[in-house]
Amino acid sequence: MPLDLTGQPLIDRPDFAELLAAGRFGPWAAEAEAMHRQGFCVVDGAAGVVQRHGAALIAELSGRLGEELAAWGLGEAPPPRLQDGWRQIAAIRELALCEAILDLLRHLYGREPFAFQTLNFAVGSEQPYHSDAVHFHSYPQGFMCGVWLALQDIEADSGPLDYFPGSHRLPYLSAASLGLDPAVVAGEPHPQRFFEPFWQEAVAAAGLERHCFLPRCGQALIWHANLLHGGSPVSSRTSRRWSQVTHCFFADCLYTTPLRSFRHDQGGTDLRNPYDIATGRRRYNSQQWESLGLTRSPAVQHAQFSNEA
Amino acid sequence: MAWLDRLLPGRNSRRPAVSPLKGGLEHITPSVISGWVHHPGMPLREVSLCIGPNRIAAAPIDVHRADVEGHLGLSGRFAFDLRIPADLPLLEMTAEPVLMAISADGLQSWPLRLMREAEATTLRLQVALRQDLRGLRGHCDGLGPDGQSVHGWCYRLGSAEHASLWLQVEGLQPRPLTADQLRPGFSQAGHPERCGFRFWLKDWPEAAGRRLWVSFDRNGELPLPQVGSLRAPQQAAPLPMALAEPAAAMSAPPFPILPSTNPATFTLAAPRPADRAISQQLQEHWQSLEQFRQLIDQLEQDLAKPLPPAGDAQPPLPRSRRSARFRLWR
Repeated sequence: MPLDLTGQPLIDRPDFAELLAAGRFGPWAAEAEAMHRQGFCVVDGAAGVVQRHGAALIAELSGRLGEELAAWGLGEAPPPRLQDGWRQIAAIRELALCEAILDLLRHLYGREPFAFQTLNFAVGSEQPYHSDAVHFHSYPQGFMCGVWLALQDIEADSGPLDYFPGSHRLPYLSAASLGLDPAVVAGEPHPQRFFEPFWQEAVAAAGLERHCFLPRCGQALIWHANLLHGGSPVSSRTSRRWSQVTHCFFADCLYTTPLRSFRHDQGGTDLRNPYDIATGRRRYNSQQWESLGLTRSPAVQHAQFSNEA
Repeated sequence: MAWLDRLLPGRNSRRPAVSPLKGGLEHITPSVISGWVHHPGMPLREVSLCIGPNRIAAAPIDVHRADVEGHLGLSGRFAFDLRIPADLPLLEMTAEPVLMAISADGLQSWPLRLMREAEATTLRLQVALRQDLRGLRGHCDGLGPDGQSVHGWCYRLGSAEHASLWLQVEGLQPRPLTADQLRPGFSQAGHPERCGFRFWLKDWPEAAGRRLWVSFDRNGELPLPQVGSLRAPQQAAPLPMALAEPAAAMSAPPFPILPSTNPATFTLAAPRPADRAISQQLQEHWQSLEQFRQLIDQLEQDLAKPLPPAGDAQPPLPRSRRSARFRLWR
């Protein structure tokens, strides 16, 4: 599996207009233009899979998250979520590997996509707005995206997804770019909070507007690696927001955790070896990992996989 | 089996295959690899830096160079500047790096080597990719006008810290340099102002007469680009007090060597109007002093002569002496 550490996603290229005019994006020209200009696009490609499996999946998730959901309803627990449910629940895996979505990503990015993480939500996450590209990113930059899929019609009181169109053009951040100290980051359970003031300042300076995503069941919003997004406040604790987020990388890159990446004399870039949901295995086996000359073992990376984004 | 050797030029190890390519690499630094390449029968598209099967960086062959056109007798864009990303996350390289020229159809490729010191290509690429050096860019401008110092500039892209370098003298242990001196005008070209270095060779008498160079690495394997080879003067001449130490921590050569938009090529800039005016003033002062010296000599000779008889009129001063007086006392 040779690396190709050159180039950038087609939607980010300076010659995007020429690529668009040349028909490089096939049937996904409108989606490509939306991703290029706004940093997101909305598609219906997974509606069929949701129609087939959505109700059963919600029932399954209701059982698994029932206790936490009740505690959240009483204000005694954070909003529940199921991370990497694709390991146990076939429908989650099927949604993550929806071919219509993967075909779109293949055209928009110019590389082969692979899903590496799933998150399933029952209610609004109320998460402060953030860029996924500080939690997981790629080298070369930009070869990562998120797919937010509605498993039901989403109401405004459920704490819907919110996002800032155009924020994908803000600079990519990392612990190194902010000059953070490794010991300080290691001592913080939620290092994202170091980045939040920068995003708030950038949003104010650029005059970016917050938008809210109120999709129909089966609609998906695909966000650019750097699009700022979060969960708006939940105004009704009885309202539900059944949804699935699938995070995707693209082939032949190195994969990184920027909020734990420092200058080379402070430990350097934090590399990760993500799962490929399609195969159920890590993207690089130990032999490939060694052949890349990477000094950190996948086992070390494994510990850093959970509880992020 | 001579016919087979002719068909398969690489078969006979005693007679290596002759590459149809012209050109190769000119400079290898931790931030840029530059050079030019031309294939007589096939258009070329780009150069790729590869480590084993992995493609690390690439650049189009699209830089126009009049000197290359002149050398080849062809018009076109044959040069390239491949940038090595400073944030490249690879930590250690196990395979040897190689720079390949890729044909326009992407089906053929040829390794490129340094046009001078071809055998040093692999080692220099390995050193240039070292993580502690990545992003460094710089140039050794050579010896100062008096031949008593070596100077140049260096900095790391995206870093406020001053770059550390090594002054190498053949047969001696290297000495560290820090590029922290003022280079007036550098910020106008998008570079940090304090990125210059200067080393006074009088502080290293053992270097006299030996070849010297400045390198990014301690072992001296990756030199800064420079024009020609340098040799320390045989004997350190005593310097006038005014020149013995710089008035300020500056490393500016008499005519500023400005980095062009191409980070690997450098232009010897013409003297600025202000420099020309200063130079002209210095010449005038020097001429005035010389004329004053001649005047004193002449006066001494005049005093040594016997006095003329009383009543004789004093001869007028020569025109040049009046001019000298005027210049000195105005």
